[in-house]
Amino acid sequence: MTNPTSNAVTQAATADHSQLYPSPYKEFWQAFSRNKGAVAGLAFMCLIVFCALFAPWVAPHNPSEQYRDFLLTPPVWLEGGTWQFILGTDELGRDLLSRLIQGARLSLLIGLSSVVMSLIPGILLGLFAGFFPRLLGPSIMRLMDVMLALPSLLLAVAIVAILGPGLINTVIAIAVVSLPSYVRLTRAAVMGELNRDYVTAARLAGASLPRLMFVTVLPNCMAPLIVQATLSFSSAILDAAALGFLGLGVQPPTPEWGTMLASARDYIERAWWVVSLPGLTILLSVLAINLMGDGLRDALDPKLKNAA
Amino acid sequence: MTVVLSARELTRHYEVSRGLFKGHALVRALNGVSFELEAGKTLAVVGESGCGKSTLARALTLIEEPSSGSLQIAGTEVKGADKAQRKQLRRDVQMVFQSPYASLNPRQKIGDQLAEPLLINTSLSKAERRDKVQKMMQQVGLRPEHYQRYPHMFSGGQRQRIALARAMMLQPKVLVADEPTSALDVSIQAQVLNLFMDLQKEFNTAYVFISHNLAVVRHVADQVLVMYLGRPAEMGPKEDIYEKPLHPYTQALLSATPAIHPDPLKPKIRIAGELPNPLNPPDGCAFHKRCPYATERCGKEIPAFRQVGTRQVACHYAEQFL
Repeated sequence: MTNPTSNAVTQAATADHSQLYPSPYKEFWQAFSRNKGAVAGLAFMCLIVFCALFAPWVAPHNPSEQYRDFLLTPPVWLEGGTWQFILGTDELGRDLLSRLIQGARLSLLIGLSSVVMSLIPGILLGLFAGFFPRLLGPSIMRLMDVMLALPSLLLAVAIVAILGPGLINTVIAIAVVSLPSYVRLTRAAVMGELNRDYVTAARLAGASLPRLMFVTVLPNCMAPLIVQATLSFSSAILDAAALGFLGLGVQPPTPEWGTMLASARDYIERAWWVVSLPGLTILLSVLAINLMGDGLRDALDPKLKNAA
Repeated sequence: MTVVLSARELTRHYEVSRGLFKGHALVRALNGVSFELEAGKTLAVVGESGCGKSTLARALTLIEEPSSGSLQIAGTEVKGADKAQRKQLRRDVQMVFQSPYASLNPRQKIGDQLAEPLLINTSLSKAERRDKVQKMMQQVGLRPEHYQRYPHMFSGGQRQRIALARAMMLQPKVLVADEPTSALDVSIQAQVLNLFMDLQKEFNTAYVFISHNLAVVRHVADQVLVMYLGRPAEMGPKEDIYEKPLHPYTQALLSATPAIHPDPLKPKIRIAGELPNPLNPPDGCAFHKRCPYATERCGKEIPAFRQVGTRQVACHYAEQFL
């Protein structure tokens, strides 16, 4: 990343104002890169994704191998730490750094896929509920009310109990649990936008229902949805940990941040790093994603962009 | 001259729920409006709030089906039109809204918004669409670089010109303008009104111009339709109505228009009370409770909308005001 502001200035000066749009990607990147926090979040997420993709090569040790002579070794900067295990080892002598790197794979997968799996159906259901307020709307919303009435973790446990434990079923359970908030948010935003004149104008221009939904109305409803998606990314990781703790999620030898956090809580007084480091990793990635989400929301809002 | 818009006894009723166990009430928002409009002419619809002006606009632009009556646009009957005809009718009627701040999509660039009607209704290529949009933008006084800007970067007057450009993209036969200048600065109003009139001359479009600003109406209209509680009160050529209003309601409206040099000889007519509840309109003439000339007959008999001289009036005693 070079200096984005000077970049933008020279571009504005040289570009032919009148005819062509600047490439939408370039325009998006200019708006996004203006937000330093968002760029930092993006950089951190790139690092995590890189680690997750190349985990077997990046990780110094096999994450499941137990070094019996090095149980609960502290990190290298503490007394008793060794360079062999930079972030120390856990109660079974497994290298924490390797487990965190390997765990990024599952945690990111759970977070991302459960967000996507609840975001897309949630938006669709919300759009339909908002566009058909007489018949379809109430039935969808009552269904969502029923789901909201159950405690979310209990509902997730029930779903996993029905589908059987395992990674994919955990993701499905978490996605189903977080569905109602997306539907409600989308419907509320859609109902607010539908009364506005520009929607009527699009109807008068002859816009079809899909066009009205996805081109005219949906982009104007995105701001709360992006925020909700970034927030539920973190709760998805924690929910997966809770399910794992109950024996319904990812099964033990596989490293996963939430499960690591849950299983190490007995050692919090003797070896703080076993609990704190996975927790810190979750915290940092959630922070990074929230920063990115904020940047994304602002970059997609034309009101916050400077004049083209 | 060809008639492009003809409405016959147009009505629009709404059912309003009055609460549990009470049944529905019927609001006659539009109660029998008839008129004909020729290409290139402007019909101004005036009346106070709640008289059915906007309902008329919504019925004319096919946003809402009229409850009864017939509406013909460019010779095609709207009721019972098949899909292809409806598509054509959609193109023939366009609308400009009251608030230029709500009528443009905040997340779409101006160029895209102007091209949208073309994208949906024609098979022009991307370059052809852009040419047409650029040409229209020039006509409404926007610079080429405005093409890729977002609505929030424009002033109210500019936005209303964009909205007008969007409505004119398909060269409709009828343009319905629902109080297009009431949200604008007075200094900008004249500019936008003149643009309306220039485009009318160029495309020979018929305008239905809804307004409560009688000075604006005087500037743009050929015909004036005065409405009261969903019914037409008086309709006729602008000059006649402004010179000598026949319906007592029109007289009151005109006398309420502020003037820089008020004529001391003209008595100010004040009408008392408010618009009656449309759920429960008075018997007889809808205006009789507020009318200074009301007689017993007005409370019993609904006056017919009849021809008096050059215009149509719904008053039993219209001849006496001639």
